[in-house]
Amino acid sequence: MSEVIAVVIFLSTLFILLGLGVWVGAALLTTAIVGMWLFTSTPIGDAMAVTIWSEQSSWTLTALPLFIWMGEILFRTKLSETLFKGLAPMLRGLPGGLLHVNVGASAVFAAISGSSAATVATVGKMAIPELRARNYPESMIIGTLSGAGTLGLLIPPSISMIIFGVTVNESISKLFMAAMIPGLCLALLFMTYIVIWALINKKTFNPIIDAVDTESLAKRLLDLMPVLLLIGAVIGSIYSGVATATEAAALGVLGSILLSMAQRSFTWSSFSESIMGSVRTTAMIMMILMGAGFLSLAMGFTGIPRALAETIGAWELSPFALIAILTLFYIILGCFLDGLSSIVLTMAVIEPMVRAAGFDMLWFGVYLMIVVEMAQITPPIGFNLFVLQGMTGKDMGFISKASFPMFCVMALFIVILALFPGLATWLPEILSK
Amino acid sequence: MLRTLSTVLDGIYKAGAAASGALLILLCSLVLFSISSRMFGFYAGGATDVAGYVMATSTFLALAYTFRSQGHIRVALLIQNFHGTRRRVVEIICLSIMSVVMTFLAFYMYRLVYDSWDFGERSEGADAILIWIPQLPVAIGAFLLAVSVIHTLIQTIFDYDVVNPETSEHEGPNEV
Repeated sequence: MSEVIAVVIFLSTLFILLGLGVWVGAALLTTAIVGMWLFTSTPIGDAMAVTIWSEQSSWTLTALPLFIWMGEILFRTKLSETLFKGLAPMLRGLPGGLLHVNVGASAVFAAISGSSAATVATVGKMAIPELRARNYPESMIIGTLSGAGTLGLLIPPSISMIIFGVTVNESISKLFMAAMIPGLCLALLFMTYIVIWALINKKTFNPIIDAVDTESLAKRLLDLMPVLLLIGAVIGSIYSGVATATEAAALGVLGSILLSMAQRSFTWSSFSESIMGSVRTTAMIMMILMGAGFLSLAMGFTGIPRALAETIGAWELSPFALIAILTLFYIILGCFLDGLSSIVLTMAVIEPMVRAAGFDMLWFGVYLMIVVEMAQITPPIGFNLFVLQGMTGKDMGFISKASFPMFCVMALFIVILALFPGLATWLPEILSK
Repeated sequence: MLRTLSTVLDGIYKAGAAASGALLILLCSLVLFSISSRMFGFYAGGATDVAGYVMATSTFLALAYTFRSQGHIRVALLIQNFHGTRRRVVEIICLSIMSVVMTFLAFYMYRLVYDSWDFGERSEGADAILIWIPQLPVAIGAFLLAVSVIHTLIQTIFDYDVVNPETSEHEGPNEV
């Protein structure tokens, strides 16, 4: 059988299985088995067992369940209330008022949680009813939330970032360093958008403004103190080199339990719910990783990644053109696949090409988080949209329209990131010295 | 009869998930233990190796429960437009494919344990534990997953009302 036919069979197996609705992990695993059978004569089953075992028991990956657990615990605390009350007085003076709390609270929560769905859900729980009560326009409440929720994946810790790091063998600590400044810049860009929007719509935008409260700044900071301490423990310990990502995650779990005890929201039932929730999420992710790990081994044998890297290399595209094409590609892919699956599935093919094109992998990781998140707020499949649909009861069309300006802000940020790669690469360089 | 068996099986998957939860707590404690060992300067040996094994075990034991509670991700673009019998047929095809692959996986995970046991293989870390010990629960988890997929397949064929994805109350995947 000629190589070309084998490649066609291999790729169509993948697309048919995924399209049919076979669970992603199983679809990837099946494709990998077919690929190994077509392209190698190694014992397939044994290679599969060894690959899966060594990946699933690796120390780097242990950060994943722990960060998931941490997020699950925090989701069940009174943190959404704390964040809203602590940040509202500081941000309400800006044009756009409390809309900025959506962005601010998302950025702060993102710094202790690795998930964008959890960020949207936690911030929205408090912010949606409060903003509605003050007559803020629905489309802006939803738009800012779904956009800012994406910071959950960008600002470290980030679950997708861990998966990217494990997939391409880059240091997770360094990726966490690289993502910080871009995350903050994107948050500022969201806020700038809100300010501009508020100035343009000055006449129609009339939210109810609360009476100025007399609480001192010191008191407000004291309210936010537990959260700031937790951020310090998790991100601080990684940045200072005191702890690895896994150790920081374990400290984070401990810190979150203490925080929920301090807030008197710790109960045994919420604790066991948090465990069952994280066990489910972990199993879901690991199932995809299992398939993807073995698939990338099989993919190596097919020669597709090398051929693709050579073809793209021969076109001699400028880095900007390549990034533009990739961005388009990921946004289209995001219409069919969820974020995690699109990361693991494409990296098996795209990694050699990206490396050959001379991109810094830390920079690329940051870039990838943003595009994947952009894909996640575009219909028909977009998890932030689903979460908001559940929370607001609005239909998908309305929510995606409301999110569209944020999508454009993120697209603008990609351009900025491409023009100033230092945003991502500077901090890791400084910190690892 | 079939339903009683199904309830018993669901109980087993749930027990697997509970064990997985306990292992998650153990994983966290192990990592905290290795941090404190460094801070206070006592010896914690292969804690990092063991942490990896605990994670693998924890993950695999929860796979079946996650599958039964619809926690795994699939591409819903096509199937969400299918209803009634058509949907049932597609579900049967998907579940059959998955049953075969998961049985294949379970068998080779078991072979891995057998080989490790046969050769008396030990981990490379400081503790040099016999590697089949952590591999065994992993194989059990893979086996449970295969059982749960076949279980769902049989229900889809003979007792569709119980597992009908269009009507059943399910939690859905917790995406990140």
